Amino acid sequence: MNILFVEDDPMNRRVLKAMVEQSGSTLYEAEDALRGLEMIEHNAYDLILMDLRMPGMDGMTAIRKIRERADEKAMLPIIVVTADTAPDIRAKCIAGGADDFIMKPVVMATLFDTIARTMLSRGAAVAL
Amino acid sequence: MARARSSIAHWLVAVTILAAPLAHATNTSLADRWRNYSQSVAAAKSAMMTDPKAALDDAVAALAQARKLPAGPKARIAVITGIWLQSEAFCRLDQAARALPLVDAVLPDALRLAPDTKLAGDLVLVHGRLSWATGAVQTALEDFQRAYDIFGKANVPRSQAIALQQIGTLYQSARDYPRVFQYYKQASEIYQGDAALEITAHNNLAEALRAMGHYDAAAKEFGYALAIARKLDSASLEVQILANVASSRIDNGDLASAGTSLDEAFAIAAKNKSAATQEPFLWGERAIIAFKRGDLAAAKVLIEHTFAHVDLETTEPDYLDFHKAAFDIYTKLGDDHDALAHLKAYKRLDDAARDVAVSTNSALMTAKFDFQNQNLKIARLKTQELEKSAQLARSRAAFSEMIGTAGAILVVLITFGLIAMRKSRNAVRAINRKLEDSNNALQKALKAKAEFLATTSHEIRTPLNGILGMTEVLLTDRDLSPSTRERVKLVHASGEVMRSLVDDLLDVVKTESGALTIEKHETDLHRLLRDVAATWTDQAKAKGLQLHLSFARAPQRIVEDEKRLRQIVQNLVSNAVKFTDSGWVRVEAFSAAARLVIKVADSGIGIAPDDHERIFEPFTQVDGSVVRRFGGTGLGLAICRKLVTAMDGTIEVASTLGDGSTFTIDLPLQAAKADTGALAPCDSFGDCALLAIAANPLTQGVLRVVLGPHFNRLEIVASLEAACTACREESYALVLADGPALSRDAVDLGSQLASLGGRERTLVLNDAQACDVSQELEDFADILNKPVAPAILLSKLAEMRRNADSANADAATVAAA
Repeated sequence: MNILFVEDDPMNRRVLKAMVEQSGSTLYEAEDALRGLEMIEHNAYDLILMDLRMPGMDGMTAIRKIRERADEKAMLPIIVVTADTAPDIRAKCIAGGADDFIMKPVVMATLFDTIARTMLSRGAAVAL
Repeated sequence: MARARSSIAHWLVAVTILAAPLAHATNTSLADRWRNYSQSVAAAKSAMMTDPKAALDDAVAALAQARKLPAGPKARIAVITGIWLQSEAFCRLDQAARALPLVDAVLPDALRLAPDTKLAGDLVLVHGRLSWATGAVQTALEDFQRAYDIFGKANVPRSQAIALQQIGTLYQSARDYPRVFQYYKQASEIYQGDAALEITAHNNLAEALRAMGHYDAAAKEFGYALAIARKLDSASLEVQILANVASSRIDNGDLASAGTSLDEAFAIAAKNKSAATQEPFLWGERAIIAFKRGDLAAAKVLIEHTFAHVDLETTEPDYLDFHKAAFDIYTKLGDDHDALAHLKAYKRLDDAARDVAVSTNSALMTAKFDFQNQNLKIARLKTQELEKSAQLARSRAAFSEMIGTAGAILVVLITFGLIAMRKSRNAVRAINRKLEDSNNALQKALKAKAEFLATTSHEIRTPLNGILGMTEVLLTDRDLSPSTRERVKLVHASGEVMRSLVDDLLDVVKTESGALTIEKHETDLHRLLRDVAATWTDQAKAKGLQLHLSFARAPQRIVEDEKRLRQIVQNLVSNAVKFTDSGWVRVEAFSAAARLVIKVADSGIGIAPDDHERIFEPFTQVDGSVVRRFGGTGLGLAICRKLVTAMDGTIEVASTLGDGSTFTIDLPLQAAKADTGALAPCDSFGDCALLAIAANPLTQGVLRVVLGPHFNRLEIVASLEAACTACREESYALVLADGPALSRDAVDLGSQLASLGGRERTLVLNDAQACDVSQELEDFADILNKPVAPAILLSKLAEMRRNADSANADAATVAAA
């Protein structure tokens, strides 16, 4: 799988990269939302992981921009990865267009369970 | 109106005294000295109500006698009793400043030698009264609350009621009538059947109701108070209450019946000397009625009676309303000289009263901003305080209007009035600003606290992500040496502890701010309990503990907030394992009469009875050294209780120190609907356990998502080696292996795999392109070539399950034959 991670914190990117690589998938990195949108424009990803709090454009706005696209990339599976602990954060993310939600610190099993659930619910052929 | 209240508050003091226990002589050789002491104590108590000066002498005598008793705890308590009586007398003689140091000196001893006794409570209570008299309102409030607690432990509800009434009186001076009402109501609920207490309660409840404009309800309470005064045959009290009734009726515009009450009061006062001192106030009320009826001449005569023998410059607060009446009357009559004198007096008393209200308010508000008082609803507080500010402004505005309408007043009076008005307007503004400032500060402080914790949590989570994530990735490396693995595990475990700390803190903030929501949906209770138990199996085993789980008498599918219920049980089991060094931990769930009961019991160190309530308070661990031994925030049980309460349930503990603890959660049981066909996929595999071997974490994720809902137990391991270990500890009905996970264990792969379950029960997902193991393994397992659709995998496993069952059945038949 080709996964894009939009996240401003380089350490978090490295951690997720190390995790994702364990599964044989590839993690591409965007250090802010605008860069992320640009990379989506020019490349084909299977899944987007999106941080919420970033300098410049925030994650929720980026998700809205993706969902507003006219092409099939508007349907990209998106999982929010955040340290935001507001009580209704999960509902907000889903209402804002995300498929699912992972709370930092990220536990590997949770990461891959969420990816698997998201991909399976999209009817995607996950390698088994 | 203040006058009846203050007199009745003295009654309260008297009532406290009369019920105090006497010290008894036991040693015959000292009998005389003890007898003398006891007699002085008794004399002091009986004189306290009628003659506090004599009571003071008796108390001093008792104290001197107590000091002559042979040293020891009993003598010390006798001394403390003497000092308490002396302080009570000083309190009644308005000499609080003299008494306070005496009480301060003996209070620690009293709390140490006679903890949780009525004497300790009485001392704390008088300390509160004295503090209040010297202006330390916050200390007073704390003392009253503490006295209430002590009386509760000493089981003297009567004194508890007195403490509550004291708090009510405190709020009365802050003009916070809803709270006055609340505390007096609570006091009368705790204790009834004592005339003196009841009369105070009814009278002051009535005053609070009247201040809130509920005249009918006030009349009813006054009625009760009157009936009791008559039963007590106390003319003085009866007259005071009748005056209050009249005043309330005047406020309500019912002048005729106000007059009737006054006539009645006069008749009683005429016959009883003790009530005659009340007459000036009765004249005053009559003057107000005459003035309201427009009979200025009569009003003038009556108000002159009221002030006949008093110095206008030193009147007590009792006269406040009558100064205002006199001002009205003299202004109407054009007697500017007398009007001015009463206006000055009114202003003096009103300023003093307002100062008390404001200082009491801010002190009370400071007290409210206290972590102990988490139940206080800040939002309500805010509106109340704002309303109060507005009320104050309104009453001041009304006063200004009153001055404004006084038409034919001399220039000097007008000038004075204007200055007074401006001064008071400025004062009102300043006070309102002060009240609003403290409100805003309070709000800001609370908001800042919530924000601080949310931000801290966010900021801590980010580096934690690095620690936990990277150590987890490291631990998946199978080439790690055992010693390095141990060290990395330690880092990871420390990170986990830190994460749970942050989670706990956030939960506390959520419960405090009311942001805690319960989301109920259909849940597999059995699986939840099994999962929690599984989390602690290793730790329990490492400590040599037996971990038992039983849920046979509980329904499997219930409707509940799974995440929160899991958190609660997790917390309780964690504590049980933590605090048990040998023996067992038992988790038991059962249902009874639409309730779900979950018990977590252990054979651990136990909890002393005194701490049974305390452990549910935030930031409490019973023994400080426990924190060092076991770590933890001490927030777990506080959160559990909040969660259980939010779920409409209860949590209780039964425990003896050194003999284990049992925590019992009792929740309303909402069983899932009977028709759960689609939601109970476990049926297809029954109570079947599956062991899966998959090295790729994404494959593990897919297996968990696809197979998890169908198997009661699903264990996923990363290697054949780990699978062999797992099989030695538990038995599995089916084994599923992801081909790529096996390729590394090349040596004797087939027989190793076969040892897990045999060909009928083992399925291998073969990756024909990358690493084909089909030829090597076809004798040892069933093979499915990748890619495999989830539905195909499930039906294949179901088929294997059926075959294994019938094979078992055949074997059973053969054995039977």
